[in-house]
Amino acid sequence: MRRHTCASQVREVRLKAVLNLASKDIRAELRTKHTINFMLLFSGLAVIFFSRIAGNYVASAPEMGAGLLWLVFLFTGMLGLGRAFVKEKELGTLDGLKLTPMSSEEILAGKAIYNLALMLGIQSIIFPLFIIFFDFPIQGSIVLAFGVLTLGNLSFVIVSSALSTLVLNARARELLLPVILLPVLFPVIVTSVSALNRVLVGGEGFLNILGEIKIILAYAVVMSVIAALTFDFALEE
Amino acid sequence: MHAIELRGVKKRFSSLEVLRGVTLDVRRGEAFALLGPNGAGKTTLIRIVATLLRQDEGEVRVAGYDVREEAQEVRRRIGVVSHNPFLYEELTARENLEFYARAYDVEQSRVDEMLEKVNLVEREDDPVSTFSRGMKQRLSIARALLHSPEVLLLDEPTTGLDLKGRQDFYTLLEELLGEGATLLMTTHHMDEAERLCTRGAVLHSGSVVAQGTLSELKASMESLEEAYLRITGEGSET
Repeated sequence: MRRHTCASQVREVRLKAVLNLASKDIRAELRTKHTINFMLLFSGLAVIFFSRIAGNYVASAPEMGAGLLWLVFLFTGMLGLGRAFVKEKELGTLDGLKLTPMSSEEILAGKAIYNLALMLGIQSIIFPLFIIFFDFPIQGSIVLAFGVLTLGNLSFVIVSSALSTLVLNARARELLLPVILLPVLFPVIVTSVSALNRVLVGGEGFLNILGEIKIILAYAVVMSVIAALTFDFALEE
Repeated sequence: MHAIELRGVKKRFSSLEVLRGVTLDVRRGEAFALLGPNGAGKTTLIRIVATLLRQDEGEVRVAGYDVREEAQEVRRRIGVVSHNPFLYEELTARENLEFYARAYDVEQSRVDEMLEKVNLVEREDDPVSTFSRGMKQRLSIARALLHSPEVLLLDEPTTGLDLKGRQDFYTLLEELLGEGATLLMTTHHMDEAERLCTRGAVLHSGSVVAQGTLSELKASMESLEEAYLRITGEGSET
């Protein structure tokens, strides 16, 4: 319906429209706290469970820690990130959004920013909780580790926001989304776990993990372009 | 140039042919009723005109713009009110309108104007979840009119409204018609069509089976209801 070249799509995204949608979603979520509460509860419980079950193994092999932490984010994200579009679909407001002159790229970007805000909120609470519960011996910069996690989560929300629209009209969408997400996310999770391990366990600095950071960034950029090119069709009925 | 032009519009959902070459025109400034039984294709037609669905064949133009090729231009010129008000229940009436005003790039002062127009100033800071169906529908009209659209598409807008809610809604639409708005509305209520519309078409199994002024549709019959039942063949069952 709205065909553009890739370059013109990037040019046409209005930051004002994107932030308007993201702030609407954040305001609505802060009022009900439906999604964030469940995501926090789930991720907190997961950290406690993992620390009881695998705490001793992580103490002797700290490399496992980053993988477990990412598992918590992955499961938590799959639980809540798809809601951004599903909720609009269930309430019938998705049609209202599609009727506005907002481009599909603006809608996707707005939803991705809202999802990123959710994940950053979770990350800010769960990451310190993880360190405490696992009694994790941090060797490197905690700020850098937080940055690597944020970058990984950025890629995660871009992919999950885009893919969640693909399954909007499917009957078992809650079951379908994780099945589609996992293989697509595999490269970024492996890279992010590797970078996180090198910082947390190896005590390495920014320059040492620059290769991984470039891969995660490139992944985020490529996925954003693919999402922008396909999102128009995903939104159609 | 007509406000809405449809030429040979066809739409199929897998094996089901929902629209079979619909052709009709809606003139500027008129209220046009789209009548027909459930499953006739009325909602599908409105969704195509509103750019929410793509037709398989045929041409649809709104204010001269093609709904497939110039969807963004069409969206700037239409307002849609359906039985679903497209409102966010957690947000207040004002916050809903402010969100849509920003999405349409409309001055925020327009929000005050619209709240006043639909008589919701006193409830502007209440969450929409506390509103009655009639109030939500009035707010939905305000949302649809924020950007001063040339064409208003109404898909069974009074579904679920009580008598008072319907009367308020009609009064609001009559005001809009007085201001020169173009209306395309689907309805099951013949009284609604007769009160608001000057022309109409009867859609049956995806085809236009009758079209003209409402008095032409009634022709020699006693009421529009009787004409409708005879045209759609539903009268034989009664």
